[in-house]
Amino acid sequence: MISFSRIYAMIYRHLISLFRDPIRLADAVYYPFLDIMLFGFLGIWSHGDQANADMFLISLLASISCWYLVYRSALEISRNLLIDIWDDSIISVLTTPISITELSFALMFLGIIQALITFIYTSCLIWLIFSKNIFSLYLIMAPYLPLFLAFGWIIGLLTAALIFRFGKSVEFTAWALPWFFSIFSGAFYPTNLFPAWVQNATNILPLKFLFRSMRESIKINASQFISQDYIIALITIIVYLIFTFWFLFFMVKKARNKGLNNLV
Amino acid sequence: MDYILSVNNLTKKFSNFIAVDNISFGLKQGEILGLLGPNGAGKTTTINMLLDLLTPSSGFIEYFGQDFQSNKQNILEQISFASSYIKLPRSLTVYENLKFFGKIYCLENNFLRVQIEKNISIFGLDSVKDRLTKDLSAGQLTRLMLAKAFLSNPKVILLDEPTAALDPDITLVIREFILKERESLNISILLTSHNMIEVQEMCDRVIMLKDGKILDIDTPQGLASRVKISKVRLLVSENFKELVNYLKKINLNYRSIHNLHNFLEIDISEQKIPELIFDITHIGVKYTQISIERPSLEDYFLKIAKN
Repeated sequence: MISFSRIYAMIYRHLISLFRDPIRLADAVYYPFLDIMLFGFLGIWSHGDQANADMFLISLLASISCWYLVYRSALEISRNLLIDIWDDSIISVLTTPISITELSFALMFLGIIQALITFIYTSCLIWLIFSKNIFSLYLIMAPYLPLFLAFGWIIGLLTAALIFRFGKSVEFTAWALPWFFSIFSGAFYPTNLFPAWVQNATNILPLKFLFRSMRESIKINASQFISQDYIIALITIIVYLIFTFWFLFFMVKKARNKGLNNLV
Repeated sequence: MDYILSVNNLTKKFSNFIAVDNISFGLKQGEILGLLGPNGAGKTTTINMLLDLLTPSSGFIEYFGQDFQSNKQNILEQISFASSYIKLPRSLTVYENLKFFGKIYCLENNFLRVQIEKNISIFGLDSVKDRLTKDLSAGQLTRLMLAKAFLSNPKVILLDEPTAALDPDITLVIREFILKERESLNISILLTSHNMIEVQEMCDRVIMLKDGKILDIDTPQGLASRVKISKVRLLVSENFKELVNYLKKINLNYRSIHNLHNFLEIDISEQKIPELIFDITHIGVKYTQISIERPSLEDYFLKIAKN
């Protein structure tokens, strides 16, 4: 049975660690700033003299904000797991009654907290640097946000599964895997720029449909969550989330055959 | 016999290597059972299987009469683990760590507060309770680990080298605490240690493991008595040469000790000691000191390890 006390304990443990680690806090502030500056000014430079420049820029910056929802919710799952491994405290945790489900739920909740903080932070940055009010788009973007978070969980749980199975040797996937998805999901540009075969391959990524649908919603200034793209994304994310949980349990089972003590 | 923990035909194979080979044993209510063996004997592998860190290749484990594999969470709520080889979250203070683990064991807030204060005091952590765990010494960390293990009043505790890295005075306090807790709460404890005195003093029974197999299960005294040779130490004052000739004649092993040529340690079976004393007195050997050391658990351990 799932215990909220155990989920609370894990959240408590990692939030304290987060606020005591200036490097992690700086990391959460610095990289979104870097991307907003880089892509924002690149967007102005390349589209500044065109008629739809404003719409292009706001659409790009909103996409970057949403990408950070995905990235943060993914990273918080894998990195918090890695922190217990780097601390050599993972065995102390795994020899308690906490189940993999409870551990995952706690890490997913930590992902939500971090992702939402980053989302609000990037919205503020966009407002301060580019004078674009993303807050006014929150209502239009609202139906998309849970799905961006959920896809972040999928990436985070996939990474966690690999870490359980292969240990610290695959810790790079915590950062590498989310950025791999960013390339093919159309977070920073539409996927119709890709060659046809790559476009076909990206059809398996629900993020592609989510970003496309959200950009369309911003363009027409109305939420498009009843659209075909949205429904495709919703269904695929649900299916992927179920598969990811199965994969995580499968990998933990495999890891137990070798010994979870090998994680440290 | 009703066991609190029952291990039946447990085996763990890693590709072509058998780490634990068909072992069976039981832990009784309120018992302290020692798990001894040289390096690579299978102690850690066994403990890992008892904690679900490792899946057995075959055999089964029962806690409180329930199958471990199908009742893991319920069982893990009633057992705890401490080892001087594992760590706790580094960026939490001593108090926060205990609160974290208390919440994992779903302890009610008031009870948890009382337990934390009690264990902080017992394990001498008062002065460091607000210190980050990463800043603790090895001994303080071990004490925190033990405080964590006893926090939830578990029915079974698995202790892996619990007093390694501790100063002798603290070791003594902790040993006494463990024995007292066992007495008052009737806790069952499975203990691994390389400290033979600790095992001899604390354990009701000891399992001797070697190459993944159980060689013996008995009381520490019972195991020690498997070694038949005692040691007689003599500080000889007269007729040392006659004594050496006599020992050679009856084929007894002896050696000089403490860098003194006339201080001898003689290996001899316990029954033959009166005869030895009679004979050497008869040939005129005089000594100013004599001591007899009966076989200990350490002698038994060394005998097994060497063989």
